[in-house]
Amino acid sequence: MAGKGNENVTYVDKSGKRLDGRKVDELRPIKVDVGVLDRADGSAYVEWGHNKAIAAVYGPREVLPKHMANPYKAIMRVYYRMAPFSVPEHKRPAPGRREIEISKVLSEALDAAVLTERFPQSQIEVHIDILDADAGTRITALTAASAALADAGIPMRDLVAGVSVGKAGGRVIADLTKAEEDASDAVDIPMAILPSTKEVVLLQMDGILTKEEWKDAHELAHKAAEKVYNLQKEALRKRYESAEAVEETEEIAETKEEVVE
Amino acid sequence: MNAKIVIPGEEIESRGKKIGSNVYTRNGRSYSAVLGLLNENETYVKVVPLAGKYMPKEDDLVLGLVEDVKYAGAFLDISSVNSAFLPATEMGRNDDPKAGDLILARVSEVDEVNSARLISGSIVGRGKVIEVSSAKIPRVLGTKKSMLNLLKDKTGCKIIVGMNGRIWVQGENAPVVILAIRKIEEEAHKSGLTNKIETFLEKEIKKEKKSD
Repeated sequence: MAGKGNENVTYVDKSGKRLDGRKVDELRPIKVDVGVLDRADGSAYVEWGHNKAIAAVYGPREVLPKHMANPYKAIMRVYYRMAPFSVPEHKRPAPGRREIEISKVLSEALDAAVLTERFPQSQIEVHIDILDADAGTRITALTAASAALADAGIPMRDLVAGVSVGKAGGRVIADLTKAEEDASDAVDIPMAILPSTKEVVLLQMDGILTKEEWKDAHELAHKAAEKVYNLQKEALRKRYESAEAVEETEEIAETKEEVVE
Repeated sequence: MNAKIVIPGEEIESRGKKIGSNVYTRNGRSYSAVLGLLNENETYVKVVPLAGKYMPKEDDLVLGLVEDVKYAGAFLDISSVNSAFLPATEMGRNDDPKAGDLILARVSEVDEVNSARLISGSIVGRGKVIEVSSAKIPRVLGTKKSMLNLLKDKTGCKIIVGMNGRIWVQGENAPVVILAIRKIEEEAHKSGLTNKIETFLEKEIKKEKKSD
């Protein structure tokens, strides 16, 4: 959305700090939680700065209507939805053009990671709800969806790690906020990769960059995505390791109880 | 069994080893395909998944819920991708399945889209049924069914374990068995489970007796 912003704002100051105090290559604080929903086959909750997304995975299961099924592989059905209260102005609850587009690009990104050929004639459903939005929600959604798929035990080549990079106030920066996206010269590039091969599975761009700027942005995105990948891995491991810690405290409690008896 | 947890896409050292399930290779290197526990020895590597849908295998005993009855047989929900077909000729002479009945059957064949065909079906009587993830069934059974036998011996309950994750329990101590299975489910990826469950069962049964 270039052109909306104020020309007088300094997006990156002399000391290299941005509006919210981050460095040019610094991400907003990210929190990944896995296995947050009991009734879904897999789930994840991601907080990325002010963005909040929850993802639920169901499947592989029967495809309905049946003619949609592919006899060679599973189909990925992604439902990206924004809650009416996720943005400052009430959003109409019906899925709009933007949500349908994002659902499509996310399903293509995830399709590249999931070993869909193992489940012919079936579908894998991913429902993602954005509870709070502050630019970069498709990447937040993708981060949650990929962790939820792994949590559901679905075979994948790799996790999908993404980040958005871009330009504001003439500088190439990572992970733009809404304020930065509204800069008059803003460029927004959401990008997702498969970390083990560095294959790009999602790449969109809004705005214009020079060749040099693009090279910088591309390199920045790869580095930042690696950080996101590590957070996803950590969250998935923690799901099974934290159970161990809880159990130890339980045991201590039990011995105390016996002493009282 | 305090094995290493691996993440999809994580590289696995497999030089000179046979590649087992849930490991895939690319350009001569091996990677895990699922979130699971690494299981390896000198000759092979594989990954045991920590979650996932039931994929029918030949010879598995499954507990299915009747979804639909046709002249030729019944369609059972075996909590897999597709429902499984049990021909009427493979059911007991006096068994007359109706939608909602629970049936114990054996998988006779699985086709290329993971649909199962069942044989030797019989309706299961009254009891309590719980569902756990099929990935955790091996721990409910234990090595050489040690865990299952422990549950049966300690509680005196009749238990049928379907490989698809459905477990049927009948007997006075059924609630204790269900609690124990929930505990196994929670701690399925940890070692020393049989001993832990043994003490748990003794404690719970003592509690039951006290309350009587």
